[in-house]
Amino acid sequence: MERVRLQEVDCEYYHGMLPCGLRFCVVPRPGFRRTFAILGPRYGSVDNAFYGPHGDGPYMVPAGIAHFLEHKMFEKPTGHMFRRFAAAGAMCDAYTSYTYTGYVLSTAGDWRVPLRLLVELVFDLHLTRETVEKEKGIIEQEIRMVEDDPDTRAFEELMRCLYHRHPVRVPIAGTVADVRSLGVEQIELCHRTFYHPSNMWLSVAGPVDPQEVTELVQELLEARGYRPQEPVRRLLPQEPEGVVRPQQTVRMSVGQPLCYLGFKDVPSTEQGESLWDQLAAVSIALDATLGPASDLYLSLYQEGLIDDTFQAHYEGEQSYAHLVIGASTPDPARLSDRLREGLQRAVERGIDEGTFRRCIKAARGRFLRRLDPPFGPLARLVFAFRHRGTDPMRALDRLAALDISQVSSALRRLVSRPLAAVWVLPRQREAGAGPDAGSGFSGGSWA
Amino acid sequence: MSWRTVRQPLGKGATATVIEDGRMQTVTLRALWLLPLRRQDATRAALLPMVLRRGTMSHPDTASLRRQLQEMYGARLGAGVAKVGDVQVMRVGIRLPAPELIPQGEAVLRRAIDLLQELVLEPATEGGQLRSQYVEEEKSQLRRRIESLIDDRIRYSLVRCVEEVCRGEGYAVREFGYLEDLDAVDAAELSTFHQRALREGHLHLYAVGRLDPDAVLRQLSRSFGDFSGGQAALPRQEPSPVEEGVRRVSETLQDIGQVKLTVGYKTASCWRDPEMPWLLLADGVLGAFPTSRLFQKIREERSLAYYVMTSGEWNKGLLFVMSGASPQQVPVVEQIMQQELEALASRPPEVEELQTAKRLLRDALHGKSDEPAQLASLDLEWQLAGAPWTLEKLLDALEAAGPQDVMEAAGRIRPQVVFLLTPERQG
Repeated sequence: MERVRLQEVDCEYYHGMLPCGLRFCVVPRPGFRRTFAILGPRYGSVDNAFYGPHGDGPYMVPAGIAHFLEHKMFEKPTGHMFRRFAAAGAMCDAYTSYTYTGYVLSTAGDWRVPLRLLVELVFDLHLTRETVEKEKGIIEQEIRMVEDDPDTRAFEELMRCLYHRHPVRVPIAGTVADVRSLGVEQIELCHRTFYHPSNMWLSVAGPVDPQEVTELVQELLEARGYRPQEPVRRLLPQEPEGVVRPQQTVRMSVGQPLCYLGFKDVPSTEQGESLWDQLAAVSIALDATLGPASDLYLSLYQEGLIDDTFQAHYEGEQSYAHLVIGASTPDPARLSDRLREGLQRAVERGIDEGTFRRCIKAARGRFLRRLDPPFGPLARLVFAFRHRGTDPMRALDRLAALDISQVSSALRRLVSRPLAAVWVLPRQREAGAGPDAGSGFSGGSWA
Repeated sequence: MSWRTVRQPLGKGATATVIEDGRMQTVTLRALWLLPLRRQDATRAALLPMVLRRGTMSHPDTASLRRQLQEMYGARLGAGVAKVGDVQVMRVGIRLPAPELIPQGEAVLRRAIDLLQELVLEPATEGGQLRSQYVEEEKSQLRRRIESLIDDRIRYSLVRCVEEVCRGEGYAVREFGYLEDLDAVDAAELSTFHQRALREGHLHLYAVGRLDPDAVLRQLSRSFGDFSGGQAALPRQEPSPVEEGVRRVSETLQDIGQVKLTVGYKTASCWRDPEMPWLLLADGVLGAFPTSRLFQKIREERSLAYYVMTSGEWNKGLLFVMSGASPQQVPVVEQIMQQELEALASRPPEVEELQTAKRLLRDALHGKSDEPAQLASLDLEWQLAGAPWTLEKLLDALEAAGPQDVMEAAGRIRPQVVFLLTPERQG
């Protein structure tokens, strides 16, 4: 276990790997009451083709299985885990992303019993045909709820426009048909393959003793017979560089239209500090050109084209990467055009030294805010970045070393990538009304 | 306790609360500005903080203000509006790294307090009025925010249910105001409202985090010492009166697949009542947690819905239960809600489920002690209610409650309105 002391702030953290193969990062925050712990595998909705733990396979499973499994982990022969966490004075929740699954424990009381329960929750699977069937109804309602949500609809449509074959184009929960097709054996296979300590991270933030945390977890996993294992071999289709469709219009009942722009990036092969630097360069570039203090943001805001929902979000995963820019807007076509022009102009003009310095200062402040409670977001940040292969806790040192040229080149690269736009427009009352309102948007790469 | 609170009146109608908490890496500054919640003011009250955050006397230009905030290590400026019972709360706030952690930290904090003072008292003006450019731009922003409420189906249903449950009361007023009132607002009108709000409003200032309380209090006194407001009496927080019978209200929306079911209840109690904790426990047993009866019955046993949750507005004694289900299954979900409430009102809860509700409520309250800024908001609610609660007293009262108490509290929960947002029929 390595102890890292952050200069400049009152904070240290501990990280390492347990003998069973589990990797961990613990950020003790003494003096506070609430602890957050996240445990979970690098296994998300895109992992639908893989080899089994003994080189068996390859297997292809339906979409939505990672999310389904996340739901089912809560049911044990001894009762529903919500109840058992509650009995220990704790709450537990879970989420499934495209690339990982996280089980989140939070408690303002003693963390030891809840942490034991968290290990049991994640590693002990108990499925029966009945309980699997029962969950299908719940998940069907979850899918319907999401389908009625304009934002999620727009985002999922954008993924279908950007990706030809990569499974990120399929919603995380899958479709109702996928979910109905799931069976006990497939779900067990996925648990066996991905829910191994060697494929997991444990991230803890709160008033804990790191030594005690790791000893407790190691003891519990050793008792279950876990030894380190080779990384899971995943199969992913070859994804072409271009997009599927440069523009798509969705019509539904909305009070405000939406506009989402997606830039399809090339996934980074870096790890560790150089990966962090790349991701930070993107984040600084976005703040400098699209942040609330940027010329482009302010002019779009003054024109009434964007509002406080406007955001630019970069996702840089191992097998896919994209930038999504979006907002609710009265005029999606005009916002698309203005964003494209504005970003192009920002690239030509370049990022000046003053803006760069300000954005670095602001990023330092953002990091410091994360060290304050509630610690859920901190634990999640560490969990997500560690799974991706880098350490977010070194932010202050790395930011000081970041160079303006890295930031400029990140912006130049992103803006030159193929892009797609999705607009959500209010449903027209007359059924089957004419062509979509899109005009003057050529799409494709506009570098 | 890990923090120390100093409270001091400033000028007329203003109070400063400074909470020193050495565990923190940040300082949160906040100005809460309280007025009676009135339909005729709601739209302007929603608009004002949005305009104030656009510029101040020393940074009249939004770009220069935001760049200044970035220079202050990404200090975050927030502004908004909320309602606490029948009181409207306008808010501006700044959060920045603790002075110890950044170069020239003390000077940065002083600048932040100056900025807070300017945001409230000395916004950017032209010809003695709020800048009309900002007023017009923020009007269009507010218009869109109001229009987009329907895009969040769950929230829209809750807002509509509140309106139906509290017809004729302050709390029925929408916190973001009304489209039909927006057109009439211009810079002159909003400036008049700003001046009136300064005279009538009650200002609560907070500074929370790792800071030097004496220095911060001194500066706040200097900045706000001349404040002369507080002329409007804030309404006494009363529970919303219970009505006979249950009304059904339904609206349709095109192309949604799921019905949003929201049931509004009244309890005839509020924070002032010593029995209030019993009601929290009744909500805990019934619906507040994933271990509660409604979640267990509706989701876990019957697979009828993905979510079942409750939301309490305890200043008004209101409870809302929300779920989403397919059109065919809504009657069953509604029936279970009714049966479970009746069951709890006629039979005391099992000891174990009461213990569970107590543990989870205790956990939630203990967690608040990590964030004195949050605790301060709860404390303000209690002040407004004239209720002598503290975190410790509330925890003790929860601990002391028995199954019979919870059953009695459940007996006071009366359904008033069933609100349904349903898919428009095809054909």
